[in-house]
Amino acid sequence: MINTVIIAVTVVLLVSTGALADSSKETTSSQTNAISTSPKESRTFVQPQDNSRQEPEPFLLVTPQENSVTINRRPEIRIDFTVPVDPDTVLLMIDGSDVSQLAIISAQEVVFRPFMVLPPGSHTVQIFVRGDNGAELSKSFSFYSRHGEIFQEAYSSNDLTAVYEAAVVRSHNKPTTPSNKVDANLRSETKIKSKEFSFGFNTNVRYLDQSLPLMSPLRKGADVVNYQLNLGYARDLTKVQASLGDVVINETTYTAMNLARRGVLLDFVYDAAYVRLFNVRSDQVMGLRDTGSILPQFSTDNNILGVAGGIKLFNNRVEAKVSYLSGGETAAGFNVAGPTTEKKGNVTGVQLNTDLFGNRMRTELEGGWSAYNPDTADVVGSTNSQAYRAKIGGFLEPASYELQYERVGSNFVTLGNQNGIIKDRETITARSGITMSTHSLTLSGMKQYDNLDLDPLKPRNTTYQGTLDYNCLSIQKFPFGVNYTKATSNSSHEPDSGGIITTTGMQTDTIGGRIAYSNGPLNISAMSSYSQQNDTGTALNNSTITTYSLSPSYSVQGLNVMTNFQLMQNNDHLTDVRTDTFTSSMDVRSLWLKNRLSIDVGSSYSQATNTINTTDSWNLTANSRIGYALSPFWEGSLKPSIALRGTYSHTTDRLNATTHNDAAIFLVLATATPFIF
Amino acid sequence: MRLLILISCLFLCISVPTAVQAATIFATPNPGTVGTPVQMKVVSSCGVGCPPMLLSFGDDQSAEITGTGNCSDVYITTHTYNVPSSGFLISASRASGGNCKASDNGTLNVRIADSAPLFDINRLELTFPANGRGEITVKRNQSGLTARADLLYSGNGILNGYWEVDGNLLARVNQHVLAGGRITIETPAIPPLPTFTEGSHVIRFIVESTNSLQAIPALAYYVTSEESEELRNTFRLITPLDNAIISFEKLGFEWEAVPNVSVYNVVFLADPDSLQVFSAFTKVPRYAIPTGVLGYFSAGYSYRWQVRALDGDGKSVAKSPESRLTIERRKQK
Repeated sequence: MINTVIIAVTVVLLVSTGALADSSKETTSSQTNAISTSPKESRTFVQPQDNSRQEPEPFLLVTPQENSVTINRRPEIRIDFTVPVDPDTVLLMIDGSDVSQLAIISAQEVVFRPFMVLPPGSHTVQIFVRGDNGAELSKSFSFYSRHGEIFQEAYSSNDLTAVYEAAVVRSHNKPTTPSNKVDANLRSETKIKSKEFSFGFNTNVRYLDQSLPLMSPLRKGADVVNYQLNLGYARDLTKVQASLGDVVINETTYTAMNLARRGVLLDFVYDAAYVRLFNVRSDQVMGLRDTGSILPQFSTDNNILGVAGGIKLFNNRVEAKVSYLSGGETAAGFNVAGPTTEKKGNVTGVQLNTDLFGNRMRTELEGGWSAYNPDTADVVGSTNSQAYRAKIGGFLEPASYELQYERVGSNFVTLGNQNGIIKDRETITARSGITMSTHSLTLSGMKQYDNLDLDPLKPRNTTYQGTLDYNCLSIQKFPFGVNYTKATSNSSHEPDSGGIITTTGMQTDTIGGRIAYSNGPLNISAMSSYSQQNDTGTALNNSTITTYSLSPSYSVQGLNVMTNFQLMQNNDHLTDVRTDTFTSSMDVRSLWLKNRLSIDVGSSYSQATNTINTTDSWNLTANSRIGYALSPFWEGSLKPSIALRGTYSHTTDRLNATTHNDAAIFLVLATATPFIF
Repeated sequence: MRLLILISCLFLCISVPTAVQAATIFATPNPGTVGTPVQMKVVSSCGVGCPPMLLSFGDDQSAEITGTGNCSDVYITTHTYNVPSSGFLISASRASGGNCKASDNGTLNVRIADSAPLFDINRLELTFPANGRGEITVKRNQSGLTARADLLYSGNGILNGYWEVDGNLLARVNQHVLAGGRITIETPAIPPLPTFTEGSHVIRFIVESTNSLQAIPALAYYVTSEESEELRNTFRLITPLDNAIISFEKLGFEWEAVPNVSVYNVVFLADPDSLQVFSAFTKVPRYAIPTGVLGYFSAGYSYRWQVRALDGDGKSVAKSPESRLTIERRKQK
């Protein structure tokens, strides 16, 4: 089915290729021919390719020579004018950046020396100017730069941070803060490039030890927290890159999307076509001690192996890709909590994206097929399932729109995007936004139901949801907005459990408002929302949540103060209990004495009470740091600092008449040592 | 005389049937749940020789209960409901007899909820949006660091939880969720994740609602001693406003001046894919895109722009926040 759709769309695209050139991006080529009378900031020129007929040649690239190779990190660029020009109309661009204001411009020449290191490789210099006869003149040059004789580019940027803390004052009652701590980190980034080949290596190596046990996932001792080794080859239209370590896999929604895992990734690109091979762990790991080796395993028990390929056509307006993943999962990883069963399976995704009408209409079509066993220990094997989605959206001034249909089969599971896809759902969503001057309005609607196969053991839940969001920027200092969401969810086809039929039904109404006052460094934002759930089923789970929030902040150079006050009232109608939670926080960052003295504070206060007096407690935590940078008195690249760090924690439970205090002051010695070679 | 009246009253109290007083019914727990016994306690006036109390549970079932002792005023029993209801009407009554009258009745509404879990969390994954991983390294006082919690859940209800850093509360989360699915929660902009203390830190999202999670996942971030440029110097973008729609003719940009800065670098990125479209270097805090390079931009598309302030060595010493704009499609003439 999906293959037929892809073929049909491709045929349509091929037939309509002629129209594509005209109906794509609406560029401003016609505008560039307009004549501007104001100098500098409204210069008017034609594109370089339009100037081939200019005679005689109006420009001469003196240094570096055109198409030459220069060994210089900041090569001077000098262009002579061979014809009379108006110097006020010069526009000089280096690799797509306008540098005219930094160049020395006269009627005879333009001279520019990059004040930043120019990356090695090919560079393009574009110059636009108007002759004194009003003619528009332009030219594009190329040159090649290297940073050294042997390597085109070679550097290693490293940054060593070492922190030692020792408690100066510490509370005696069962302290939760360590009396001393050593925490060091070496960040390293190395890159070497020579002709077609490149080498890169990034890593963070860490050593941590303290007098008390550490919270997971931290561990005592030395470890390579993360690393990535890159080997590349690029020549003409061919690019090959191999990455080993912590990589990110981005294929399709139904296979792997933003999958950040440890493993190996091979990327082959030829012109507009590409193929990727990868083998990554299914769980996230931190450090080498979990894995024991930097080389990936080729096991499908706890690794994900995949291959993907695609092609981009019509100036990237059409992209088709196929992706296949196979593997399993034995552990959730330190940042995931969920089912701990061992899983295994494979999934295939086919995706076609188009943007044929200059953002007016973009489409995405994808199909996914999975065979997955959610528990390899049981007698039930893997099951096959499918998922499909079609999405269309774009921008038709002044409105944007988006419409999507998605059906994810009852047993569909993707290996690499487990939080992104919810199985056994059919969903239709529509969204439209309109922005006019300083007003913007967004409307969205959704219908969704589950239990696609009408499993007699489960009910079918059908949900409708509509959202309205309005923003107003008419008064620049007082931007405000309101939003309203209504959602209903009802069950049907409920299973009969021995005469007991349980129905679920929920109506949720949420209304919120926000307003801010902004005046220079001062910003005050206020927000309030009221949410009510009315249970129309048998669960009687009626509740309301009311939230009030006020956040004043003040920010100037060297001082940043952010405060927040929030009251949440949670009213459970089932028990007639209202719980009030008040939290406030204050965050101060400041630098004084020419950035040598730093004073920072972070604190939070939380109080919770309810109407039946089963909760009545409050908690205060405060952390502060007063530091002084010693680098002005220190020779070399070592940047030491000395600081006093204070922590305070207080908890009072009025019901149980208990209090707990914990306070400590630490002497902190730290260094930041950058070294580049 | 007074003594005679008192003796007469005592006699009347003993010999005359008890005056009409309503029975009071207590149910624990109320609300209850399907399949779980609810204890009923009826408190009534003392009635020597009274018939048993008839307790009707409101679900077409009833029971006769007798008090304890010869002159009991407390009747206790339990009942299990098999169906949920927003209000079962319990009524207590007894026939006349002994010292009791027939109308010694009482009523109470008992709510019985579905025994199925209302809301449950099945999976929780924590990541840093900046790199999609569970750990990250940042500079001291770096702003914009956020953590994200992706939750898969079933049922309807209230998600209760809070973010904590190194065991200290950062922010609370309390919101309704609907009809089983996925919800993503990020740490707020205020209060921010603390980055002023060098070294290792641990972030956790503690779920207080009912959940089946068997572990508490965590994130780790490391703050280096290298100071972020942001606190030393940050400045605002003035025009155009964030999310503005502007025409090609008005592609002019202005921002706050930064003292002791040699050059500003204004960068334009395609939105949302973040590819750099164009950049410019300027010595003044404003820039108008030359019409000669307007072809780098396309009508109907959105872009983000940001300005960095550079010192004489080209090192970034300050940067503005990002702002988004959309190029207006030109009117047909």
